[in-house]
Amino acid sequence: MIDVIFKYTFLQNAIIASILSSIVCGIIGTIIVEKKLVMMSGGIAHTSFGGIGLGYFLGIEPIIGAIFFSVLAALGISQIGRKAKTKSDALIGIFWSTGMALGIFFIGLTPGYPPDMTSYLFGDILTVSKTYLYIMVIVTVLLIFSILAFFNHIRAYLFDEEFLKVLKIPSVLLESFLFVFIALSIVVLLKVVGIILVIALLTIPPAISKFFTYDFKNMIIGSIIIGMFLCLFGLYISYRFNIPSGATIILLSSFLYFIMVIIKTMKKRFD
Amino acid sequence: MYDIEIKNLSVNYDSVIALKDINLKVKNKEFLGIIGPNGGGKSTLLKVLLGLLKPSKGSINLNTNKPLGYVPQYSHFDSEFPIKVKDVILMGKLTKEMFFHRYSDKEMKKVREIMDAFGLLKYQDRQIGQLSGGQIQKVMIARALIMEPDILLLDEPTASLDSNAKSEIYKILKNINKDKTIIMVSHDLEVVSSYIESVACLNKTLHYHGDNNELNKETLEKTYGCPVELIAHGSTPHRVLNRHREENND
Ligand SMILES: Nc1ncnc2c1ncn2[C@@H]1O[C@H](COP(=O)(O)OP(=O)(O)OP(=O)(O)O)[C@@H](O)[C@H]1O
Ligand SMILES: [Mg+2]
Repeated sequence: MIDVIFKYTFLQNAIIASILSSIVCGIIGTIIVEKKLVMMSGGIAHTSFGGIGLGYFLGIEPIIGAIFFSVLAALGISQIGRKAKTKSDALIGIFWSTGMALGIFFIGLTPGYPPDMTSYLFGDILTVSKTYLYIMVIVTVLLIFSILAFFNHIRAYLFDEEFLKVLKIPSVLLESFLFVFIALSIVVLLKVVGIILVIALLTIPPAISKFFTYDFKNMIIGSIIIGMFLCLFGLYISYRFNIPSGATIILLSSFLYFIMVIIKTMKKRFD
Repeated sequence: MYDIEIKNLSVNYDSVIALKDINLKVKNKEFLGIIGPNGGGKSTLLKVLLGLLKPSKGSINLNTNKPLGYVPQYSHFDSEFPIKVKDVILMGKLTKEMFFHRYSDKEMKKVREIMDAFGLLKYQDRQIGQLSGGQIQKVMIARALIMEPDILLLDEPTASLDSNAKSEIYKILKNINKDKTIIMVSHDLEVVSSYIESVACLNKTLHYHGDNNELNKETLEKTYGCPVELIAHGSTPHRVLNRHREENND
């Protein structure tokens, strides 16, 4: 396998993309799982389809439109949720469906042959371009820097928002910052690995990591390591047996998760 | 002179009027007990003092530049969250300085002292959800105390504590009261009568604020809107308990 990696740049890119995605997902995933924002992240990801459609319609890079829409969705869901009395669950549904409908609407308006949207759904880690690798490197570095710089406050915000307000710490600022980061990360990953794999990588590694630790920092580190293992092992299997990489990584991940659940229950029974 | 001055304060939740035209002055180093029926607006008053709720009318003046210490009635956090007891208490030391914030050795030492005083030291590395309800309550009180606030607000802090822990905490509060102002909501009239010098009766409006010893049966009945056990003035809690037993035997 090693000599093959050196021979093919697409494999090198896939490996680098896997590692970067695992880092981003380990950090963002732990945050959204612990703050119960998984649904919201799904909503943000799907709302961005509206932006992709708009991008095609206006003839600009679709990902720019996607970033615009997802950041708007992230801030919109948090702001409207705070002001109107709409349950955030319902609000996510509204953004989700509206975003996707807008995407189809704009693509319908776009003259010529309709672009292939499925690559955004399923992505393909084996076709990552150099440009996207650079964008991913930037997002990853920014994210690591931010989590290190604001660690104590981010953890406190996730755990007990009200108490931050008592301390007169601007929790709304912290929340907006986090939500924008979640939106950016999701969109960048979306193009690389596809929305389905994004959700899997955001949720499964943190869930497995939580079997081993009760500490927020260790949970993030654990998620990153587990994510890397799953991605790289998944890539290997997919290359070896020539099956789609995204699906392989997801199935491997959920397989490991359910194995962990079984081990955990067995252990409880015999203790 | 006054640490808190509340003038013509009203607070609404949409159409519900929770507080109406409250005027209240709390002296420096006062230990004020707030009593009143369920839904009387006690928690609302504390939240508006903390800035968690906006008043619909009136004004609040606070004579401190530090955040107020706060022990909430109910904690809204997710008890499954991966955070250790020690780190929950340390939250009280967070400030607006967010950039590469780290806790100092002095703050770590302070946390150990306070955990020791509350008998929490052996649980310091446990995940917060693995404590009992009363132990979590102690963590919340410790978190408020470590803030070293000038004004401390407690919303039924001892509701889930055993009698031993209760008197421990009142001893600590009494001690803190030497140089801090404390407001405590309590349903426990015995406690109010034996530890606290001044009392406010709240039921949408403020019915009474003054010396605990001058509080009479009529005021209490007006506050609660029904007959209430008279507080045994100046007596120890035990005597009140005895009287209850005698009544039960009849
Ligand atoms: N979030 C809210 N939305 C609407 N109404 C509320 C809300 N919180 C409280 N209320 C109402 O405001 C009034 C005062 O409530 P508050 O929680 O201050 O009472 P309390 O004195 O603390 O009662 P308890 O002794 O039960 O804790 C009640 O009538 C209550 O129904
Ligand atoms: Mg209350």
